[in-house]
Amino acid sequence: MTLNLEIVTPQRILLATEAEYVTIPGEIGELGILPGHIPLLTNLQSGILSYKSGGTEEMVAVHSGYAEICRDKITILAKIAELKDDIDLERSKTALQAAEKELEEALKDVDQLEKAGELQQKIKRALTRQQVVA
Amino acid sequence: MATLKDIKLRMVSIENTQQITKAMKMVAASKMRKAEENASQSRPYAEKLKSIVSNLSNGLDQSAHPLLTQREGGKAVVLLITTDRGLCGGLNVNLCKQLHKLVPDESNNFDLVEIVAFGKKGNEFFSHRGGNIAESYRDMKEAQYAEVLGKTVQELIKKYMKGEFNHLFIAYNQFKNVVTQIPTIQQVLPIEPPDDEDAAAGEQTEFIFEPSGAGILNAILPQYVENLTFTALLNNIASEHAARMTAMDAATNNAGDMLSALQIQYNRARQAAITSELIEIISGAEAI
Repeated sequence: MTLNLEIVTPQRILLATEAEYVTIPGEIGELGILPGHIPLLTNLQSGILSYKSGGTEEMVAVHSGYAEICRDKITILAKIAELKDDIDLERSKTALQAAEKELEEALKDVDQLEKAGELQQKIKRALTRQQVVA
Repeated sequence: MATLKDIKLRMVSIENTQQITKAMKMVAASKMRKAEENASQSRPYAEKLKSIVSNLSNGLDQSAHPLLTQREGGKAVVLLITTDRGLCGGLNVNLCKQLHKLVPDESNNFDLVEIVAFGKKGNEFFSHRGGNIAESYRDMKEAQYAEVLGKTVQELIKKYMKGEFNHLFIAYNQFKNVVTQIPTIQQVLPIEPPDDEDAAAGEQTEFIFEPSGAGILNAILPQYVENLTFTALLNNIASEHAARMTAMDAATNNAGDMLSALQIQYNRARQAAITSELIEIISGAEAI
């Protein structure tokens, strides 16, 4: 028995494949999904989605979205999702540094709390990307 | 009467124009293919999102979420998506005219229309006619428009939640096929829960929600709104290129028609000149 995994972004269908087992970064913790899971709808946080297909484990970076699990079909709706090959490690590293610096500044100022929240999201995305590549 | 030289000059100028329209048609055709592909690739996401939203909001009361609640009166904001460049037939004008008719009256429940214009043409149309333009974005690349539109919509959602305005519409050209683009004015806020065909077909499944149905709804509704506008933008880009291709094809054909008419006129004039010259020679010879 296999799961039918589909990752959809606003731009295109990023990935459609069969997998034996999938873990997704749910909002309140990681979820491992095996075939025959009960129907479930959950928010995702920025994190790594990994799936096992044909003995090899693959990783995809997904940044906030939704997962719809319906028996043997998982549909991931992600605003941004990147395969390993699509990630630019250098760019991510510089973005991380810049964001960390800005965050330090923003945290000093009470008026910039909203911005600080955004920056934290940004840092999280950068870290996820680097984890996927590593 | 036009001399031979005059006619020849006009023909050359028309030929030049024809070459330009032909080239523009080719460019539009290739851009359209790309834009159409983008639009069709964005469809799975939009459809899935729609089915989740309809699933979640099924059986929910309007008052369950501020983005679903109908509010009377107040201001209506319209996101008007047009092109930056012309030469694409009646695309922008048809849309703007339709939007121009959207005025407060008994049939709708708002008192004031405010326009946020994306694209030069919409801005021009309404600034000449005293439209109420709040913001205007122009001369950007497609990717930039998508980014700015996303940000604007997020801002608008925040303002909507605060109650600064009560209705949000989006006006764009829906891409149906190469020859048909439909000027569309669609209500975005308050969200009208979409009817899902699957649900009607009895494929409704009971989902477990994590963390909770309300939590997901809170996150997904703004996302849904944003995606509606993103899809509209992609549709309008595809429509632009399709309309330009059709317009330029027609222009190329018209130039061809003009050329053949002028060619006949040119031949006649040449024949007339030869005949009159012959008459002169013959009458001259007879006089001797």
